[in-house]
Amino acid sequence: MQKKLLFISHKTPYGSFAAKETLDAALASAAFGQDISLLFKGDGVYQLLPQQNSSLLKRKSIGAILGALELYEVNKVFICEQSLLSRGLENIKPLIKVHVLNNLSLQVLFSEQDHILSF
Amino acid sequence: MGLFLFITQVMIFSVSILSAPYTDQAAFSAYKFVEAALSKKHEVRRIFFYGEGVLNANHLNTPPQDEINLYEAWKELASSHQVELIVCIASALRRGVLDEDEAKRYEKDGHSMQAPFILSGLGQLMDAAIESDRLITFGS
Repeated sequence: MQKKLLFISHKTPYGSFAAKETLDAALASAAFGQDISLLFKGDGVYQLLPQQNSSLLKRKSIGAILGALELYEVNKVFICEQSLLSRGLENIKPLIKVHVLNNLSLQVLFSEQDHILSF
Repeated sequence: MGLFLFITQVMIFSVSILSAPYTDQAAFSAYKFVEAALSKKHEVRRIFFYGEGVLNANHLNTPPQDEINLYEAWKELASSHQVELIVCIASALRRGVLDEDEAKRYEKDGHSMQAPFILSGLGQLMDAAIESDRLITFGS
């Protein structure tokens, strides 16, 4: 049975392991053939900033993992407009292709899901 | 006058826990939620410990005797209600939560996890999402 699952990533890329573990979970569920959407919200929007250099932190690059989303056919990737605005990030060029959603569109996205997994 | 029938629909719940015990309230809230759901005769199929949540499965946790022992509480749930306690292996290894087999594999002096907690993969979280009416996340 296929279900609609929305993963919400709302943590900074390198402040904890939460960002990586969220993406791991999203990729794993995509591999299980589920209908996956991924939303970057709150501080999670920092994960999409270009020119990350995680090698200084001896960490794997979140940007590199984001690149894998397309391989796993996770194409429904969204970013919260309000989160961008409140952080002054509305003019960034995100690392990967994302759809910017306002609060109303977010409501629609949430209402369409079978499960929402917030990390 | 109409006859009012109150029919309780039994639901299948699964829970994912992302927070360590004793760091914040989330893991304990999850425990209370599961307890409440079971007391209302709902089914709780699986508890999936992910990220910092895997620290709940460390049997070396030794809180003072006058505080809640969440580890023992989880164990009790597993034995009294057959709730599956699944621990994400990738998250667990990173945080020193290893059962006897993994401790041997990585040549460690001791292990920190045992039954009824079970090490497994993210597939178990997906399976819980697919098989359950509700999947509730605690912690962040």
